[in-house]
Amino acid sequence: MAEPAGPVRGAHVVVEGLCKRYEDGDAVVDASFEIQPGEFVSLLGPSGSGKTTTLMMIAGFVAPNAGDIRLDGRSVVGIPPHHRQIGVVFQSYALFPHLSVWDNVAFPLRMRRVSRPELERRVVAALEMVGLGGMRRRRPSQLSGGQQQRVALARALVFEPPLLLMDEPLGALDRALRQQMQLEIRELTSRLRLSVLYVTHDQEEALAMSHRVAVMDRGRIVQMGTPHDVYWEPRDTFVARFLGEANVFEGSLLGGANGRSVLVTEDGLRLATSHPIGVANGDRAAAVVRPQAFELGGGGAGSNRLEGVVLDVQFLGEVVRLTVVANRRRVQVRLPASNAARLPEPGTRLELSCPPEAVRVVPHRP
Amino acid sequence: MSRSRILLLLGAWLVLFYMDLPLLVVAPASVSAAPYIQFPPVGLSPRWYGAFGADPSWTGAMDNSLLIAAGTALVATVIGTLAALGLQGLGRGRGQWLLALLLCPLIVPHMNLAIGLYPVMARLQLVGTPLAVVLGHAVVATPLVVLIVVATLQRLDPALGRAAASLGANAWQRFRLVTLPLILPGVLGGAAFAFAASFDELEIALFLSGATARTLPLQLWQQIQFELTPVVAVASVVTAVIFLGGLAVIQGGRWLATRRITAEGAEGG
Repeated sequence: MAEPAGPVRGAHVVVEGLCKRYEDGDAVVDASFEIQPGEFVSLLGPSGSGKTTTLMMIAGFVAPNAGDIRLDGRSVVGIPPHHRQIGVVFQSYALFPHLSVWDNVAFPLRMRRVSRPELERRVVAALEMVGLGGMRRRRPSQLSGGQQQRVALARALVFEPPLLLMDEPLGALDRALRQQMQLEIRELTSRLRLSVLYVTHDQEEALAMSHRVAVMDRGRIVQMGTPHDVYWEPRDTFVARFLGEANVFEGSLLGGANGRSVLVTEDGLRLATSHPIGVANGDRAAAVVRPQAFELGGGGAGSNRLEGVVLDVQFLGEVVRLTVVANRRRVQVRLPASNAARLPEPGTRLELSCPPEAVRVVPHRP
Repeated sequence: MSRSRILLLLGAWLVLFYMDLPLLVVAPASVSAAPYIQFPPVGLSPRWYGAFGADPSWTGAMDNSLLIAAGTALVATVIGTLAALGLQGLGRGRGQWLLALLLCPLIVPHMNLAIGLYPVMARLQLVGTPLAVVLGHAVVATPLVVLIVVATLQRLDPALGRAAASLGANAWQRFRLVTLPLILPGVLGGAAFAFAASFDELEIALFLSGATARTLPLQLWQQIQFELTPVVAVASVVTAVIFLGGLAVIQGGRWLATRRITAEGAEGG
């Protein structure tokens, strides 16, 4: 389907104070966020964090206890799912096993009583769009996982919904196929300028695909921002640990020279940060340092330095991962693999450094 | 082939032989020339088939049984399928209790049910009508349908209904276009069991059919009390043929349904 870069098709979605309580506790607590027209937003969190419940409420399968959901200014709370005009892709694909690929994709158009020539044109276009033009007579059971995923996508998009919801859509695929499908979904949704809400527990997937990521934990949205911001400026230790690898140093805070704060751990490590922080002096706090922020050697003036012994060296292709024991704590370090030749053997002492710009101090959350 | 495997096969064939033994005895007896049921049969004659077809008390009972079994299958399948769908909507907790209540007639002896049903039907002035027997048989046949359809529904991905809803299907369309086609084998199986349960039921029919709506098992029961002619064997064979025929029809129907759906896909493409 040669889709012109036409006007924005995606809806402006506003979710406000959304709550869902079950007998055994709160599933979603006061979730508020927006999706701009054409924006790709991910809900990222561990299982049980409320991300799927949030998606189900927007789709209309679960009724919220409180809060509002608006599509282009119009509240959809109370509207049954079959009147919401929202495309949904499920983790299990939920293709109708008794219908052919063609009939699966034609299903939403038949529900809308689209005329026959129009229906045929649109089903053909949708199948071409996902590269399955030749598969129309197959049953879902005759397709591979990736092909089933594409049919589910074509079916959810053929009626041109302004919002697409995806619930862990790539969870059942192997790694290589998952990465390929990530690319395809991103390309497709940005070409159609769709608004997308994507639920995943895979932080790499969320970072790779989204314009913005909302991190959820225990029913709440803990932080929302661009992948870069959420990764480098985590609001607390949960976000830091959930998004990729993080070294978390717990300690208390001291006021330092030239406006810089210094975190001192119980075993005497001192880490200076150049970033403003929301923690008062003397309070318990945690310093977050990403493994790739470390470099070998003493670094420049004002750098944080620590000494340690190499415990383990792992070659991962693009990077080399060192586990270094410093002050009896393990520190994860990632270095570009091109430096591999100069890397020390396990057991050697070395000096590590990281600039104050790479240190984030956040409130401590156990 | 190992010895244990030979023993296993031998055992399996023995069980199968034992299960079908009554049929293997009764079928030859029905073509016997003797005036009494004997095994092994003496002579070979179709005369008892002629006698069966010529006797209105046998053919009438056969017609009654077919009508009542068909009626029972219809009532039990509609009620049982709806009940199963309702139970699924209720979820685990309350659903389990209601299911147990619905299955009670499977455990209660038919005689007890018949004793309970009789005064009710008498009050409604239905005793002696096929309708009374249909309603009575529906009590024991509906739980069978519920059991089978509940089991079929449990294997259905709940996301399918949600997917259909998100694609614009209302509750009726979701049932007709997605749920029903997918549980149809279970529904048809339930209907077949309901038909069979009614067709060979004796006690409830004994109480409710009176003299006018006499069923085949009742006719058999009353006949063998004073003579054991090969007509009885003929009735058994006819019954068996009806059942095997029904099984073939259901299998054929399922095969056709699969073909039709594939053809629709082909026509669309």
